[in-house]
Amino acid sequence: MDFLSRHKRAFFIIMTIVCLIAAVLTLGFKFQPTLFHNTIGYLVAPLQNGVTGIASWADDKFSFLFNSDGIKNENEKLKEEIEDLRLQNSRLKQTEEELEELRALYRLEEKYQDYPKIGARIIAKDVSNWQHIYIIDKGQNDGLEKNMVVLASGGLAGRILETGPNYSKIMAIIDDTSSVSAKSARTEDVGFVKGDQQLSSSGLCKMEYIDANAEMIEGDEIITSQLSEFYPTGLTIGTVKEIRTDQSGLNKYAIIQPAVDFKNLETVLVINRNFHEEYLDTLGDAYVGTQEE
Amino acid sequence: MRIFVTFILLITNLTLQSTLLHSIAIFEVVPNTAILIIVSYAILRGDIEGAFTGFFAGLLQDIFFGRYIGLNAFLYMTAGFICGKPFRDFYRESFLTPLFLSGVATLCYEIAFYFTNYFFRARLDFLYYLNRNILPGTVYTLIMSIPLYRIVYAINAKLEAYEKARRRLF
Repeated sequence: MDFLSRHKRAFFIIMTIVCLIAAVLTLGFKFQPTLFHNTIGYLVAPLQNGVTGIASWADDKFSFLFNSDGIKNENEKLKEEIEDLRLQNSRLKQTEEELEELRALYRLEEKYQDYPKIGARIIAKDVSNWQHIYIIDKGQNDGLEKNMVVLASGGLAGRILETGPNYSKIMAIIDDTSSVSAKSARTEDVGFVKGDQQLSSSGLCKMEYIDANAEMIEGDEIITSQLSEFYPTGLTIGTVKEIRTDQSGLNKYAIIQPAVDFKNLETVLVINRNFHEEYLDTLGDAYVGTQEE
Repeated sequence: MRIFVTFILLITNLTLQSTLLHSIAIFEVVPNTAILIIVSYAILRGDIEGAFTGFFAGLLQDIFFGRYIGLNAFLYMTAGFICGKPFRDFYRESFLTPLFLSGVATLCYEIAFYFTNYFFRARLDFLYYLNRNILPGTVYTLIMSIPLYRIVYAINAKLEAYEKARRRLF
């Protein structure tokens, strides 16, 4: 300790240089010290799992104390809704049969309802207020790999950034650095759905690089396009809330309301196929990155 | 013994901060208890220990929630180092030192984070981020600074008593 006390400044400078080198290595050269990450993650993820489990157990047990009136009303409303949904369901079944036949005619393979999915629970959310990164409780031991797609309540939620043995780190599409190649379902106009910190506090994101002559209107459904290198085509992202022209007047951008409610996100589904690997296989040696990260 | 206790404290803080503290978030802002623990540690134990605690706390946060390693480690280490400089000059029982230093440290940390992650990606709307992210974060962290300082102070007092007893045996 005496040695340290006498050479404080030198040690501080050395540690600063270590941090800088680590940042350059991991950011610039994409070097990930996975053994180190995995060890710490392996220890902490079960703790986070436990705490979230206790919190949701407590929530389950005690929420009725605050909610008993609301529960009765909710019950009535839910019964009505069930009747409506039953009717809708039978109608949709008929439409689905027709769709099956038409699809067979065009020989379209692999609707995304058929992708193998794994359910997972979110056990931790990022502590800094600048990112939207979640930790889920499934990892390499359950067969998950980097860049797998994550869905939640029928819409695209994000993708996996890193996996450990028993946890994975996922990035939401409303995170500031996220960017998804997307198109409008009705008019097939392509663009990129990017997260924005200013919009993500209200749970929204924006779609950029839309052609100025595009005919998108409010309420259009936005789905992933076939140009994406991480996401399969046809996944619902959200609906257009507003369309604006940017300052230069040449491009339009749209505010998108995602189909997933990120404020109350608890369980997600991970598609167990690595589309990024398949995309790289189709390219062979000529790999060129797209606008997506 | 001290290293072990600090390690347990940092891991507990990370676990609780990423799970329970989100349920008491105001306007989507979570108090940054990691930096509070580091500043309290630095005030009570000096700059070297503050710097090491900061480094490991930042490393933990980077591993779990960062796209790359190094930024949080560096920022927390600097906070620990600088806040530990005056540790012999202030009374430990006073609550003004941790309050003031936590506020300044959190403010600098958030501004540095904005600078490295947002400013360099052409998100130049600093006033917006100041009002919606930086200032609420700082204020909420300030509110939590005194209880957390008491907790770290109590832990530190027990550890010092234990170390004193061990020294007397020889």
